[in-house]
Amino acid sequence: MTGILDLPEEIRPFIGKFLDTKSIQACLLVSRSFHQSFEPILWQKVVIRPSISDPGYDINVHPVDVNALRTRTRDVHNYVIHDTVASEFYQLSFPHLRRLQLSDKGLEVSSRAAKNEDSAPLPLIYLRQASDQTQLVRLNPTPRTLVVTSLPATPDAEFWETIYSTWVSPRILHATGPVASTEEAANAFWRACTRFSELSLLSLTAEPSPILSTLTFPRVRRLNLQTTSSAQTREVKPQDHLFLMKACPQLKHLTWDAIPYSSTSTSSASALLSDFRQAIEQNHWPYLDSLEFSRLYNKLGKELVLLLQAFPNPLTALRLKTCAFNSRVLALLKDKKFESLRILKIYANCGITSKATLDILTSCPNIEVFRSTHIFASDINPSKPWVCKRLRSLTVCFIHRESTPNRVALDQQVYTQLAKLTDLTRLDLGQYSMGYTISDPEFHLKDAMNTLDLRLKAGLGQLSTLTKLRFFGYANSFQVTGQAELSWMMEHWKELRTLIGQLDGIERSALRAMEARGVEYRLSGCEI
Amino acid sequence: MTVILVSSDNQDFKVDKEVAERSILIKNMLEDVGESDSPIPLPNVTSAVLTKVIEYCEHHRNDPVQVPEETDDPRKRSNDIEEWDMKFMQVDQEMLFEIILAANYLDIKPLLDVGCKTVANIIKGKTPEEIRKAFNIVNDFTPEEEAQIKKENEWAEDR
Repeated sequence: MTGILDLPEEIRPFIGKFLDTKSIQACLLVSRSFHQSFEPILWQKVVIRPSISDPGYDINVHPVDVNALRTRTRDVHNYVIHDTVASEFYQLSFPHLRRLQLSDKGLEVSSRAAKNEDSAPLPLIYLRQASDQTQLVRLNPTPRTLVVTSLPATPDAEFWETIYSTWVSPRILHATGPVASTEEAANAFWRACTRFSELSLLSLTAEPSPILSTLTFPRVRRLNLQTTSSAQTREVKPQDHLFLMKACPQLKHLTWDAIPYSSTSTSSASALLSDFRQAIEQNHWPYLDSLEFSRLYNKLGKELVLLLQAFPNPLTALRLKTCAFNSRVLALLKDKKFESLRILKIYANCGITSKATLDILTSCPNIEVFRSTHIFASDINPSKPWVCKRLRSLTVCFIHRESTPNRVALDQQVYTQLAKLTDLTRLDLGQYSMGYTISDPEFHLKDAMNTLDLRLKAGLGQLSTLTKLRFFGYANSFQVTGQAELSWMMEHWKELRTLIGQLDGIERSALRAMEARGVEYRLSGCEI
Repeated sequence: MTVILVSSDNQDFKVDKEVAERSILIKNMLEDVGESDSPIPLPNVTSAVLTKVIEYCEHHRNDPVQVPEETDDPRKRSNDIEEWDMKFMQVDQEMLFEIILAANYLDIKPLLDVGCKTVANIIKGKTPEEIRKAFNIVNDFTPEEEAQIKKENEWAEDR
């Protein structure tokens, strides 16, 4: 009889990649043969943290034995070093390494240490040298992804030089914090960037680099630029961002925070945005079709309007966080961009109204992913159909005005509309921060409590048409799902895999059945 | 256009070319051979298993070709099996492993994935003893070895 032990060696990793660490650890104890099959999978990701002799030691961490690691280098695909660890961990070569992460998790360690009085005192100084890190990148030229976050020691020129000249096929670089403390290192850093196709540069600090203006980044398709601190630091300025963008002719996706968080003056940002707009007008980025902006409001809100007005390409994705989504923005999009728009995410604090949200649903034909904050059920006009028949993901909270009578009939109407969106795989009716981030002038905080009634008797049963639904969420919506509703969901939403929101009075057997079906349940979920 | 597949126990299966080509092995074979109606022998697959595999390929005949994921996230989910696939995989363990072996041999990546996810779901959340029971495996460790292994692998964090 064919059993699990008859599966050839090369198939077992396929099983392992679907298992969490705990399950793999259990597999290792099953038998010798299981141990042999699953041990390599355990070593695919190795995280090194400070151990007892190092600063920042955390008692909850079981240290990795460097000698064991030396015998396992062929298995490691993802190598992570937090803080500073012993030099020997930088002297290893992993022939199949795909991802390398070097980061300072100082904050995380200290918060854990605060809860744990047994742990050693936190370090005041870092002992390691930049040369350790350089050694590691020299020994490992294969990663496609490099993550460097507030490194304990700022990399030297050689670190970046090595990546530039020896790495085989780097693709993604995520860099946060200090990356170069000398001009030479800064030059080398930017040169290394030319080899990547995705750059995510957050609160980057580096010495000014004279060569930056001479470089081009021919591979970069995705660029994420964010600034946090004020103008006094050595942080790479938004002005440099524009330089960088202009040097990326293949740019397709741009995430850009043009204004530092701490900045109080918007005039420089305004000038910068208008420079950016001019480049847009000249069609500097022929492939650019996906934009994400933050904090363009007040005066900068006008820049957003002008920018969208000037944007020559079809826009496929637009994400706005704390940006003024006013009637002018809507009118512009509707006029010029609704045909091409596939993804539109308008996060909290953008001031989008219920009517504007409905306007999008009733007139944006090809949208597949849509996120907004709220819709007043009474604003829904049953004679105005929602045209977005391709909608796969909808995030919006349906609410009633405190003064609205006859909510039962209105709830029915909401269900009738939703039931027609038969391609939905993800429906999130939850709210975040209980309405505090909704800035519709017609909205009052009390309204946030009057959400769509999710009980079967209110009309949930109409949603039996949503057979593709994989995710259903209603976190913080003040709604509770009972046994009857849960059974109904399990029966009608066969593809459901994630359920997020409050459950009450559920039978144990139902919870077990849910687990057996592979449905993951959480009370609240992260914002996506 | 149809092709004839011959199982290890010498049964002929007539299937549409489009369905047979869900198997990369067969697809490559057909490309090499060119226009020919000679049957394709599959000496590693019994008729019982081949029936199941063809059923899968029929159902998924119009699926888009899977592109290898360009992600460096090693964590894969096993709770995203389609309902049809889940029902399809409700077979005894012997058949489950035979299907996995056949999917591997015939190079049908999505079927291999579904099979491995099904096995992963059996393993998940179980203790070593429960896993032994589930797969009928004898514990060949000494208690000392067990303790040693436990200690050796404590370092691993969530993936």
